[in-house]
Amino acid sequence: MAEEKSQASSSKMLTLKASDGVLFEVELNIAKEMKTVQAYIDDCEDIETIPIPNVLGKHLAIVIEYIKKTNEEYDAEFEKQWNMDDLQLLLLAANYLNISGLQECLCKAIAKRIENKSPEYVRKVFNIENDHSPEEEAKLRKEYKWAFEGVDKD
Amino acid sequence: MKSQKVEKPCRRRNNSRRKPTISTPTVDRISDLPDSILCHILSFIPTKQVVATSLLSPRWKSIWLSVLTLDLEDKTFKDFTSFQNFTFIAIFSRNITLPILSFRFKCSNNNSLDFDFVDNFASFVMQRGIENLNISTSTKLPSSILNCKTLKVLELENLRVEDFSHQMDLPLLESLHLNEVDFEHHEYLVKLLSSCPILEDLQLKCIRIPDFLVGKENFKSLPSLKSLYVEFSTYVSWPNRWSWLLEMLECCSKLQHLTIQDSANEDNLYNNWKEPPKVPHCLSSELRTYCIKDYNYHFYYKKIELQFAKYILHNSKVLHTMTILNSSRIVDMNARLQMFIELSSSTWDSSYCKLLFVP
Repeated sequence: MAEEKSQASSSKMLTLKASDGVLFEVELNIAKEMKTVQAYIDDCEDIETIPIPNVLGKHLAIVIEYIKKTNEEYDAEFEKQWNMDDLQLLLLAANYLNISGLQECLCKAIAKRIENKSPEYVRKVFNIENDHSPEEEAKLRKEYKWAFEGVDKD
Repeated sequence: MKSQKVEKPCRRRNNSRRKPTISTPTVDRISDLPDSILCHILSFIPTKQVVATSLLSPRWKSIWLSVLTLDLEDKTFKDFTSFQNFTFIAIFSRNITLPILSFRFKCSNNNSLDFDFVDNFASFVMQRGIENLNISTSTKLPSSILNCKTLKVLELENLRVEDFSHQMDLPLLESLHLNEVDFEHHEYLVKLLSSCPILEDLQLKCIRIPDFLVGKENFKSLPSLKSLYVEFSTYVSWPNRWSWLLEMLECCSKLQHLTIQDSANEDNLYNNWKEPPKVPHCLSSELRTYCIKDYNYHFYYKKIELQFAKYILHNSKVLHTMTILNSSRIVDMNARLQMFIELSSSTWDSSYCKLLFVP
């Protein structure tokens, strides 16, 4: 409509559609923090609804809220609310949407949860299957032996 | 108008329709993330543990070789030889074409550490595109560290700048923090500061300079400096330190933030406050905040800090906050009140300044 075009660009609204069909109306300047979305807008100027195929509605909601509220205090408390599964999915979302601030915050958060823990603990936290052969594992333990001495008890 | 369901963003944490969230995932998502993200996560973890991730699974075996940061600390190792061997592997096994963006090295073992060891890896690291360097160890400073085209942040602790005839060139350096660094000659400090034309943030904590002479046109201009933090040590006697500080302030034409901590215990009788003939430009026209850290209320004869504070209040046109910061929890309320009375009764040049006592 004609009224939309005369509004300042910062109050123009955009719709983002998550992978499970949930729709979010966001201001243009919030959406622009997602560089992937920005690129989409640059390519097709008149677009109103942008599909976000890799991100569930639940996570897109969290991402949008992060962009609106981010500051030092918010970031420090932000990561404490999510379990490891959500952290990883949020990280995938931040990476896909290309939001560097959020990606940095999430990488730090995940790092904090595995810092100073043994490989066995880290495998459990991430559910990584150890498909090293015993010979391979022994070889690595020998080659980098200094890395395995003096680790915190889990 | 189209009619579509538009949902406002909200957080549903304890939604009874969902399964309760568990703390361990049922799926290994992390190994599906691209290498670059795994490296980004590992960049926040000490290198000793990063190397240990090679053991997680074959997918992880070589990830550590592409992490762009190194963080090495001797006290996390069994003994010094282990630390030395590990440092060698950590630095030299990596793909040589990859940059090292951030390097942190902390060694508290003074006896075993050998200058050549530090010098060798420093030369290597400084040529790998480094932006952020933090070294804490008590040896002579390797010359390669002060000659680097990519460095943005430099933090040095306990090192000695001596026999330094080499070139100093730090064209991109924005932030320099020196803690307990010894300078064999004051001119090394001046030369260092002149080699960082875009330096904005400078911290000089308990540095040692044996041969500073007042009035010898000691400093060159520091045109970009916005923030200065100076701490004078409790253990080193430096009678003309306030004159030194004033000479430095003359050269910081754009300084906006100043913090001073004077922990020296000596009597200030030898060091009378003398107002300079002309108010340093930054104090009158640029300074926005001034902070006195850990003012020692009990040495009431340490009035020089108080007099300097009043001097600033009297001459700073754009000062908006003066903070008296106490890092310990113990506060003598009477002494604090005295100080408040003294400061608020002096003349203030700025119309908008506030006086803040923290805590």
